[in-house]
Amino acid sequence: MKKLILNCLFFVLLVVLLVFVMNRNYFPTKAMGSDGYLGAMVDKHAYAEKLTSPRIIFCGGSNVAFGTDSKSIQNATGLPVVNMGLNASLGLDFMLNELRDIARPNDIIVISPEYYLSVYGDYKFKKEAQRIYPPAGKYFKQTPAQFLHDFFINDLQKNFFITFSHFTGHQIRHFPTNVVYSRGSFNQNGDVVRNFAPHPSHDFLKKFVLDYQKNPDIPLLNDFKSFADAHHIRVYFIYPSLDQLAYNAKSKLIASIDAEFRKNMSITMLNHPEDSVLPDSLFYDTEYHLIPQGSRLRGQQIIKLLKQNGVGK
Amino acid sequence: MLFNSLSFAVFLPIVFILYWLIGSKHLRFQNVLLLVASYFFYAFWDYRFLFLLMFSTFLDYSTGIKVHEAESKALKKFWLWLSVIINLGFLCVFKYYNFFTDSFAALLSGFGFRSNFGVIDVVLPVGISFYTFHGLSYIFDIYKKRIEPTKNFVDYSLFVSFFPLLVAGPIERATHLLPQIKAKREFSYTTATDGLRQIMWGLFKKIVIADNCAEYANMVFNNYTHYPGSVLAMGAVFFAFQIYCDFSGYSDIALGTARLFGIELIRNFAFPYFSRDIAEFWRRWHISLSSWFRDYLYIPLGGSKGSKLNQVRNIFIIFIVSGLWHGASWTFIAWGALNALYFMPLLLLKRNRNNIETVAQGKLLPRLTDVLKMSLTFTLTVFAWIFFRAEDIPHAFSYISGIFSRSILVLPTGESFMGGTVNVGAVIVLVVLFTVVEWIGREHQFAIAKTGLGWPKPVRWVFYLSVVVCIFYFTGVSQQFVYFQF
Repeated sequence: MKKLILNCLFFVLLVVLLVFVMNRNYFPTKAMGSDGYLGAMVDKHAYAEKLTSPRIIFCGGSNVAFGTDSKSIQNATGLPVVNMGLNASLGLDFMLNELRDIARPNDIIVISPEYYLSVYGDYKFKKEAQRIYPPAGKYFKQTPAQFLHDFFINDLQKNFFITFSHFTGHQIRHFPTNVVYSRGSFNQNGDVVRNFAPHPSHDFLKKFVLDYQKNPDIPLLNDFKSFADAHHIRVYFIYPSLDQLAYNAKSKLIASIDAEFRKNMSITMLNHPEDSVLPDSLFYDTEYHLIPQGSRLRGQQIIKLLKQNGVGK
Repeated sequence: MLFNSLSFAVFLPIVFILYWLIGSKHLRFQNVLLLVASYFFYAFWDYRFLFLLMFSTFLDYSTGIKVHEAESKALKKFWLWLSVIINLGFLCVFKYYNFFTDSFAALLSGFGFRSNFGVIDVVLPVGISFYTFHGLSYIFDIYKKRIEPTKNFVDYSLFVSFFPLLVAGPIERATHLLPQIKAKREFSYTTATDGLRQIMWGLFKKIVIADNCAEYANMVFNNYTHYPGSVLAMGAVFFAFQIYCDFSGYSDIALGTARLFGIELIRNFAFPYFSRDIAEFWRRWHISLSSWFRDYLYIPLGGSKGSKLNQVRNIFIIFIVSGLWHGASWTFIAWGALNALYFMPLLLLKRNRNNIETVAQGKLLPRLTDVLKMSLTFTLTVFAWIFFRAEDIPHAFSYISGIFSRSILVLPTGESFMGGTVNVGAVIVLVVLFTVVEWIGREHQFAIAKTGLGWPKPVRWVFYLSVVVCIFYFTGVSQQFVYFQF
């Protein structure tokens, strides 16, 4: 019995050691993927760090990445703009923790989350963000089960191939840099600016799902408002850009979401949902993603809203 | 609690250590510990259904005694039927009520009548088909005087609820398991390590083969209109490996886990894809269920005795009931009926017991005729699995017509299988390697039962390490065990 237990413990130790060696050999610096869409997080942080406050910081999911014309806003307000919007799957908790990390006194933060943005998002995306930009590890929590799954499975799966390629001299395929969802599609401010052509079909309208739930985002947004107040940071909320057909299909529900926000959220709201609705022809591949022409139009709307609230010159 | 979960990886060593270190000298303690652990294991999924399990256990325990003690045959029959009706009643309510009412309503509407039966919106309790059959076999065996009822409620409860077999079998018999529960169990290093090897192999089958095949099988079955016939055929083969490795992998883990506690469970799979005819396949596939139906349904119906017509009827009954046992759907009935049809020529020509021994016993390679027979049997089996996997009968027929179209000649490309966690080429290589290992080990309890036993310890450990790393590396998207839904 003791022999079996000792052998099992020794075997488990060997497995852990073996996996540890394989994981630590090349992880995470040489892992591929930093040219992908999430790779833009590195550039956004570097740019935000470089700017002097007060800055205008945009936050949200991909609607912000695709729908913000930072340069126009910068020119119109005279304040440096950084667009931190990237992917809704990171979750609101991650995004707000990221803001807590980079915000400084006197900054102006504009939050524009997608409707019913997931609080905790998708762990896979957050882990990938951490792999590409290690400080992102501070923005989310990892359960013991996730830690073990990462150690024994995810990291091993990534590193084994890299280790294998190292020994065999096999060239690792690099991420394509000429696609919309890549790091190269972002400008210096963090907006997606690649000229999307040909225009994809609008099948996404059939897939737009928005069902009523108790708004999970409000408590987090209120907490963030308290943080911002304590650090002399101004925070505003604007609704995400939304395609007209999607809005028409869900207008009643969106009106109830708006009512809930107005009743329970402490962040100043700069517009109404219908103000952010734009024609179908200005959207790219989802009901939230604007094409550059659409983002310019939305940029003008945002400038007007900011100026009405005394932001910039 | 799933066998391939972190919670089970914590649960099993704790129970194992308590069982052998504290309880090794006290059989009663061991049995109580295993029973508590089994109830915890079950309640971890949904504690509410634990009461159903306990009720079912109590029912069969008490009716078992009543059947045994009844003085007249009529009274014995009464207690037997009471148990059967209540047991099957639960099964019908939870599993078949909606199916029967829907089918009856559809039948009535075919004659122009409208009906409105209520729908029961309830989750199917995990393992209900398995533990109901445990209880029934116990009652039948007492009625037939094959065993005497146990007076020890803990022993009987453990027979029904022993956690390795609780949710997906194998379906045990009281004649086999109860004596082991009552007997003192000594720790055996050889048995325990053998159990660990079987668990490892079961995890490999489930995680590496079944889960990865499932991704592609799901992709193809769910979007079958987008694929050429050749890809649809591949999808069906992927499903064949998925279901085999999923269920036999589960059974290996169950058998291996039981061995850690010094208990031998009934073997459930014996390399069924190396069968040379469909009769052999059914002697090697889900053995505990097939033998259950043989002993408690087929033989009481007359089995292979009587007129040809009766024999044909019995075969159809047993296969259709077996299909229905798997799920409340016409697809399972069609799957069962198709297997009965496959069986018919063998029955009518009295060739259903031609292939009893393992194929190419003692040899490395099979004869060409054996290869052809195995290929034909496998093809027929894969074809039947299409019904098993399909959402409904029209789905199955559309899928089959998709296979037998001109596009069967279109070569599948890598693009057809984009999106899986593991590259499709790697999955095919793994399936081929797995089949080779299974072939080499086909004369043993499980494929790697004897692998490496004669090797020096360091080499053997490198082999085990490789299997474990392989499990981690090829982990696909975790899939629920298919047989949990039954």
